[in-house]
Order: sequence, then structure tokens, then C-alpha cells
Amino acid sequence: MSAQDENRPNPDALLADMEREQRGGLKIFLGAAPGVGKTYAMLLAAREAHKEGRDVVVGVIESHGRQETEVLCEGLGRVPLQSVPYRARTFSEFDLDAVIERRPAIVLVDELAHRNIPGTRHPRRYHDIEELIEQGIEVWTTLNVQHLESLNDSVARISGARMRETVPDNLLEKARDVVLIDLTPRELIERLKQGKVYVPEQARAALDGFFNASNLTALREMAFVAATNRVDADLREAMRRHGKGGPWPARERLVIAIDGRRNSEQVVRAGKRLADQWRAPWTVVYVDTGRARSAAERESLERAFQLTERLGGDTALLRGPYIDAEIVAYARDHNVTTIVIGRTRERPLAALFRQTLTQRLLRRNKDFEITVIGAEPDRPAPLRRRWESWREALRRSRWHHYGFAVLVVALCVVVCAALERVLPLPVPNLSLVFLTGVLVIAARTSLPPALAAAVVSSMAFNFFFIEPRFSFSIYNTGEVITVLLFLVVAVIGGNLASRLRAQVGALRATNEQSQALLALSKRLAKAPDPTAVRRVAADAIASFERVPACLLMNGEPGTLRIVAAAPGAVTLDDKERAAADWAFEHGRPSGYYSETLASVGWRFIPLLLEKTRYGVLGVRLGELPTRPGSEQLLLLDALANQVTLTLARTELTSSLSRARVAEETERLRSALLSSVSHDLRTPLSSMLGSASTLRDLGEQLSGTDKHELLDAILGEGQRLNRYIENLLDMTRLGHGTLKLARDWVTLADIVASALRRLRDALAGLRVVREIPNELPLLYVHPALIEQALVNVIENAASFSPAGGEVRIAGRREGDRLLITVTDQGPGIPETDRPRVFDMFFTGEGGDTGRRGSGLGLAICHGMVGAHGGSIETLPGPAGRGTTIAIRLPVLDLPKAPAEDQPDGDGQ
Amino acid sequence: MATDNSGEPTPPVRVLVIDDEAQIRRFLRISLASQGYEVLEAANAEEGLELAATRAPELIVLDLGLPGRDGSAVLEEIRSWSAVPVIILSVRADENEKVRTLDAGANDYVTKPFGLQEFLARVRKLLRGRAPEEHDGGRHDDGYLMIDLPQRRVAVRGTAIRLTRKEFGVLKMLFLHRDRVVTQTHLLREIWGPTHAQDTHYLRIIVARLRQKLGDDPTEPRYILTEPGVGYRLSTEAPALGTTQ
Repeated sequence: MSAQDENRPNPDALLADMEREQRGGLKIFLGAAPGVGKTYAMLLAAREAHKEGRDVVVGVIESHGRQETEVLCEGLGRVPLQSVPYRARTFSEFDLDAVIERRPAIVLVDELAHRNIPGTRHPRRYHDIEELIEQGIEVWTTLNVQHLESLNDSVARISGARMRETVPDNLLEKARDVVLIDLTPRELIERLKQGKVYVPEQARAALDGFFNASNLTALREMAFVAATNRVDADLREAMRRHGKGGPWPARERLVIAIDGRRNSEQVVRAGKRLADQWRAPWTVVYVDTGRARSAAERESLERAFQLTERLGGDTALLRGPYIDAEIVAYARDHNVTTIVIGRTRERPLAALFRQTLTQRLLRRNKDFEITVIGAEPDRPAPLRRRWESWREALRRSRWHHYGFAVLVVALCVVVCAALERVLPLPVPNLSLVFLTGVLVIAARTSLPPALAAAVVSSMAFNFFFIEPRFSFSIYNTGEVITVLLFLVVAVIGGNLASRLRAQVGALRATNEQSQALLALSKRLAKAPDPTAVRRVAADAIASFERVPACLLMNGEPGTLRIVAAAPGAVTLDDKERAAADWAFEHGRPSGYYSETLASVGWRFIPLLLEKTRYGVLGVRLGELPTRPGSEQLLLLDALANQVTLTLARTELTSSLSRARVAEETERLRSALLSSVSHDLRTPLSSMLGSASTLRDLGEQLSGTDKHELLDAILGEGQRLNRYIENLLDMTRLGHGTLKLARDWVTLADIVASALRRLRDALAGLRVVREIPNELPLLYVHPALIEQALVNVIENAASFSPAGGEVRIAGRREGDRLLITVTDQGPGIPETDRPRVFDMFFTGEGGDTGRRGSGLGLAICHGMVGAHGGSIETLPGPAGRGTTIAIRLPVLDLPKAPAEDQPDGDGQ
Repeated sequence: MATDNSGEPTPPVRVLVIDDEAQIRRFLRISLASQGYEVLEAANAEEGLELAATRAPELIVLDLGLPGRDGSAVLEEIRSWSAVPVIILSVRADENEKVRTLDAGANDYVTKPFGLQEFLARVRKLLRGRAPEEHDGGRHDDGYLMIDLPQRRVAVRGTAIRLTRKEFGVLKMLFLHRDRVVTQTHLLREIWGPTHAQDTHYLRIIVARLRQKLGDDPTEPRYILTEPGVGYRLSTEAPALGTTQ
């Protein structure tokens, strides 16, 4: 990119700007803590706006019964709250639909971080607000800085209280304005003491500790930083928009690797903050090595992924035996500049054998920046976590695995005893038999039985084969070492073998997923048209997930309809439909296991490619016996993506061809109009002229003059009539509504009536007809073939010199009937010959100077083509004039007429 | 009527024109009046039916494309109580409609736009066909073609020609309705029977042979004229060839 280019206004920035303009704005009144006066400031500003004549309404204001707040609300329009029943009680809740229906210019929605009562559309108020903004309604809201997602950890560290009601940071970025409401900590504490700050009774104790000077100072600083960052972002955006060049580095991409431990969420938040600072897109990855995960780990992973989605990041699940290799490969593939990881646990002993992930990553590549987050150490001690993962592994290993282990060990004992009898082997060698057994167990079952087998084997080895036999005591020091070494080797071997098995399992799972994707794409590729694509997609996904699936497409929100469903027909109730519409409208998943209308049994995944929405894929995940994991959801997303791509492809193909047809039609239409208006006016003006001459000058005209004028009127009238007939045929042909009313006719009859219609045009020309009697009948639409012949003969006549000959001949040519019309005109240059059947082609200067509409031959072409015939232009015989050759198929007569008897007269 | 007194040899023939187009009515009124006919005009079906019932016209010119009511419905109603000759005015591309109305009892048709001579000739034929003195006992002889129905004889330039049964049947049908169009379905039904009403190829072949035997040029026939998509017309008036100009 040249320096000049860099200084150009950035289209992305302009686009983002435009988008922000089109959507309703968001104004956030940001404060450091409750009680700084955000609501109050917002209401004052609202009154100001109201005075200026803007349509401001109160959506919800948490006045907490304070008089001054209530007073400020007076005079502003109010949308009543809705009553939501929940667990036998009724709650007042912000009424989103009422506000959308009311469509104010600005709506005040207090407390951005509020959590909605279950049963309303969205779980969180900020979802409501996002929807309002998308509806083009400006929203003013209030927020305490401690509720910002990325500050959650910091707030927790400072105050010791973790906020449950966090909101995504990008809301702050989306806001058009952020107003910082500041109050010094001392004043705030003063207000608190005066009871001016509303604090719920039950939280008072907790909050008393919270509202101390140092906490408030820290929070105030955070609010400052958040607001300043916002200003900073605005500034940068503005500079980018106006092309003020600065050293804008190439787009960075951040990958945040998590391991599913407790600190994963912290790592995600910290990584997100980094990404924000660099304005880089970011992805959270987890590498599945096939190792068994504890329930706690799975849950933590789930939460981290959900958090990522809330914060606006991408997620990816990688599979492979080596965490570092997978991360590096992913980073390389995705142009990642920075890898963020949490600090790996220091294990002094393990460090001797193994490098930490950080070390391995560092060794593996030199291209990436690696940022290690000093995340707070895992709360549960490493030992306890180990124990948890052990318990998990134990839970997974089946009892028959232990049975198998016992059996194998017993077998080893027998084999060793037999060997000892047959071969005088040194005792230590017998341990190899047990080792084999342990490896077999590890490879066939899992780690715990293998380790148990290792211990049991060492004991059995000791008990049965080491002197003194049938006792666990050992005489020989060397043999002590043998037993110990055996134990170590067995444990390591078992561990390795079971890990190998786990990896094979993981590979198989990956394979299964790739297979599913591959199968889907194969089936989709075979689908010939959009309808088939939809059917195949629903089918494939239903059979893969083993639950009903459906595809909703077409139309604007509210008119989505089910276009395909599997395994059988599917009906959606109102709530499910609402969820589908929501997913379509907002381009985010909704329904089951999402953040919107999660009570619905269906999960709806929008089929979204770039900015085009193709529809929604619905999968009834609620029917699954177990809750789907994030892997399953990711796979579902991948499948949906595949469907979207295919839909996009077929849609593109068909829209391209539609566009082509439309363009062609438009071109024809305009050409037709200009040609028609000219061609209709020419005969009309000579008719009008002749008639008015006759009326106005009738007495002064001679008899021959009068007759000539009358002839002109008649002749031009007939010409006009022919044009109009052509136009009518033209529209019938063009609209594809032409239905051939075929009948059996003789060529002679058609020629006869064509010549009858053209008598005037042919006056002064010699017409030679060569139509043999024995020609086969034609099975055609007589009027259309007649019109085609009229056009060809008229064309021949108009190019013929005076007294010239027009020859019309018919001949059988195999299974075709050949009709030729030959004139003695100037002929058509070879290069123009194929073009004469193009619409509006008119030859350059015929002898008579008469010009047709240019439609005639094109219509012939269409009509003859409609009968399965062909038409071509040939040079006339002896290179003079033009021959137009029409070939029409000769069909067999349906049934021969009954034998005709001679009439009685002759007998 | 004013002319209806004993001094005049015959009262003027009354023709009813039913057409919604004032321009067409005007041109028909002027041309028909110039030929000595008395012209009644109706702009719609109701008016036309009323005049047809009250003024007893001797010929009705009926436009098929009347607003509101289908021309063929009007024809049907007229036919329910009168056998007055009816000429249909219609546009091209309506062959099926023409055949339907002809089969429903219309006597002839003219395709718009039409020439005046053609139209007047049709009117004359229809009015003459009603006059008893025109009956020639099923015989015709114009010096070239001789047709004698009672004797079942057909001769060209005095030489008898042999016709098959079907050929004779077609010629006889056309001759009985000479100078008027006979629809192809009518011919097929009468000569081949109702099951063959759609087998137009039978008819085409017979007509082609008939023309050949009569020495009639099929591309410019003198006797058996083709009405495309509708049927045939036997012209006994030389040189009666379709159009006017």
C-alpha cells in the first residue's frame, strides 16, 4: 500500500460510521459506583431534549422511591412496565415490545446491567437495548463501571466482591456517546451516609465494606480509564475515517489459548483487554488432546466459551496430541501475531522432565509474540484438581476393565510359572511378562486399571517369583531394585499406552466430525437446485444430530417459513417462531442453550454469510438426552456454515441468471419501444396526411390523385395491421405463454393465405410458386407459420427490384419440409447473414428504401424455432439475391384415413 | 317505413349492426346505406337483442368482442327464436372462437380489419341465399366447372371426373353452402362421423385431391378457398378471391 493510499479515508471506518448513523444511537451515563447521580443526570438531559421538542419517553427508571427522581420524570412520556409472572409472584419489567411499538426517538432505559426476570424475551437488559438500537430507536442508559465484563476480575480483586451482572465491553464501544458522571469518593460517602444512595437492605452489609475511600478511588479511576479509552477510540476512528495517516500497523490477530482450568475466564478477559488495546480481532482456542476432562473442567471450558461469545470473540476447538503444536499451527494458518496464554502451573518436579507450555511455545516458534497472563492461581490446590481428574477417569473406567486387568495379571502369573519350569530364566526377565500384561491392559482399557495392574503385578511378581516365595519380603537387595524398577517402568508404560489410546479416541472423534462435514458437503454438492439443497441440509443435519431439524427461509422478519424439515414435518409454536425470527433478524443463535429465549427446545442458528441472511437452521437440541457440549455446538455451527455456503452459491447462480434475463428483457423492451413507436408512426402519419389532404383539398384534387391518396391510406393501414400482428405474436413469444395450437395443414394453404394477405406488397413483382401436390402435411400452428411466411415474403418483396421475381418453393428433405423464399434483391453480405434474425436488425439500404420494423425475421426465427424447425439465410442462386430457407419437421400422420371408395357414379 | 308504400317495387332490406365501436358502426352504416339497405344500430348486446326482436331485421352483423356480454351468447339467444342470417365480426387469432360461433349457428364471418367489398359480397350472398329464385336445383355450370348434385356428376371443361365418395361428399357439402364458409369440424362430422371431428388431416388430404382433380391451384385457389383455421368456402363467383384490394 502506498503512502497515498493510506491517507485516503478508510472505507471500513466510513462503513462502521454509517452503520452507527443508521442504527439508533446509544448514550451511556457511566459512573464509578451507585449513587454518583447517573439516573439524575440522564433525566436532566432527557428533560433538556424534551424541551427541544424531541420525542423522549421513559422506558424504565429505577427511582427506588426517591422523590427527586420521580419529579424529574414528570412531563416525559412513559411506557408502562409489563407484569411478568414468575414463580407465583408478579414482577414489573421493562416492556420491550411496547417501546418498539411506540417508536419514540429516544427511550430512557435505566440500569444497563439489569438481569431480566425469566420469561421475558431476553435474559439481560442489554439484549433489550441492543434490539432497540437495531430498531433505530436511540437509547439512553446508565452503567456502573464495575459491571463491565473485562473489569470483572479487577473489581473482584479490589473489592473482594465478584459482580454477577456483567455487561459486554463492546456495548461501551457501540455507544455513540459516553457521559462520565463523576463524584469524588468523599462526596459519595457523604451522600451514602445521608441515605441519598439507594442500597437494598440485604446488600447493605456487603456494600458497607465496598463503599470505602480506597475502593471508590480505584473504581473512579477505572471509570476514567474506560471513558478515556472510549475517547481514544473515537479519536482513532475519526482519524481513520478522515484518512489522517498514522502508522497503522497491519491488522493484528490475537489467539487466546485456554486449558479449561478455573482461570480460563480470567485469561479470556485479560486477552480481550489486550485485543481491545490493539484493536485486533481475537479468537479463543482450546486444544483437545483426548485427555479425559473432569466435570469441573468441562464446565469451566463451557463458561469460558460463553464468556468469549458475550465479549464478542470467536471460538475454535482444536484437536491433536500436542497442545503447543496445534496452537502454533492454528496461529500460522490464521495470521495470528500474538498468542495469549495463562501462566502454567509451576511443578518443580515435572520441570525436570517436561517443559511448560510456555517454554514449548517459545521454543517452537520465533514469529509470534507470546503473552503470558499472570492469572490468579487455580483455587483448588493442584493435588485436589489432580484428584478430581482422577475421579473423573475412575468414573469413566468400567468395572469390567478391572476384571480384565485382574485376569491378565493372573494369566501373567501362570505364564511366568510355566516359563520358569521350561526355561531356566533369570528371575528379573520374568518381569517382562508382567510388563507386557500391563501394556496390554493400558492399551485396551484406560489409565486407572493399567496403573492398578502395574501395582498388582509388581506385588504378584514379588510374591510369587522373588525369594522368599509366597511372601512380600525380599532377601536380595538387587531384587528390591528389580521390583521398584518394574513398578516405575510399568507405570510409565501404562501411562504412555493409555494416552495413546486416548489420542486415538480423540482422532476418531475429529475424524467423525470431518466425516460429517465431508458427507454433508458431498450431499450438498450433488443437490441440483436450491430446493434440493434445503431438503438435503435438513435431512443431513437431522440424521447427524439424531433430532428433528428444519430450515426456515425467505422473506422479511415475521414471514420466515419452513422450507424443509426432517425427519418429518415440523411445526413451531409462537415462541419458537419468535426465536427463529430473532435469530434471523439479529444474526445470532437463539433458543435452546443460547442467550435469547433459551426456554425453547429448538436452537436456531442464523445462516449468515457476510451481510446476507439466508435463513435460519433450527435443530431441536432440547430432545437430546444430554446437554450438548460446546464441541457439538461448534460442529453444528460448522455444518450450518457449510449449508450457508451452498445456499449462497446456488442463490448466486440463480440470481445471476435472473439478472441476465432481466437485463436482456429490459434491453429488448427499450429497443422494442423505440422501434415500435417509429414503425407505427410512419404508416400513421401517411394515413393522416392522405386523409386530411382528401378532406381539406378534396375539390381541387383530380380523380387519379384522390385515388392515389385513398390507396395510400388503405396500403398503410394494412401495413400497420401487419406490424400490430407481429407485435402481438412477439409478446406471445416473449412471455413464453405461446401455446401451439397445432393442426394438420398443407403448405399450399398456408402459402395461399400468406399471398392473399400480401397482395398489395407483391404488386408489380412476379411471384413464382413451386409447391408440389404430393408434399406431406405439416403439423403446425397455422397462423404462426403463416405469419412467419408473410414476414419472409414481405421482406423478400421489399428488397426486390421493380418487376423482380419472388420464388416460393417447397420440397421434402428427409424428415423435414424445406420452404425457400428467394428474391432478386441486393443480397445480404455473408457477415450479416446470421444477424438478420436478430431483433431490430435492418439491412443497409434495400433497393426500394423500404425499411421494416426489424422484427419480422426475428419473429420468424422464434416461430419456426417453436415448431422445432430452423431458419437460415443463403445467397440466392447464381449469387444473386437472397434465399431464406425454413425447415419444418415432418411428422407421421396419427392414423391413416380409412380406404376411400370411388363414388358410386363411376360404377 | 317512409319508403314502405305500394309505389316502390320492394321495401329496403333491414340490416342490424351490433358493435360497440362507433367508428365501425358509422362506416358500416354509410356503406350499407349506400347499397340501399336500411341500417339499425346497436352499441351493446341488450340494445341489439331488443332491436333484433322488435324490428325483425333480415340480416344481423354481430361483433364478437362486445363489452360485458360475449358475442356468442348473443348469437345463442338470437338462434333460440330466429334463423335470421348472422355475420360475425372478429379479430384474427380467434380461430377457435370463430369455429365455435359458426358451429353454433352463425352463417359467416369476417375478420377485422376487413375490406368493404369483401364484406358487402358476404352480405349479398347471405341475403341472396334466402331468396327462393336462387335455388338452381343443385346444379352449377360456369363453363369450366359443372356440378350436378342430383346426377352426382362433376365435370371440368366438359370432361366428367371421377371422385371418391369422400371427395364427392366434401364437394357436395361445400356446394350446398356455396359462397359461405363451412367449418372443418362440420365437414368432418358430416362426412366422417362425430368421432373424427378432430381428424383434420383426413379433410386436408381429400381437399388437396379434390383441388387436383378440379385443376384448382392450391396456392391460389379459384374454387375451394381455405379459411385458415376455420374451414373452407366454395366460391362460385369468378373471380371471387377472398380480399378486396
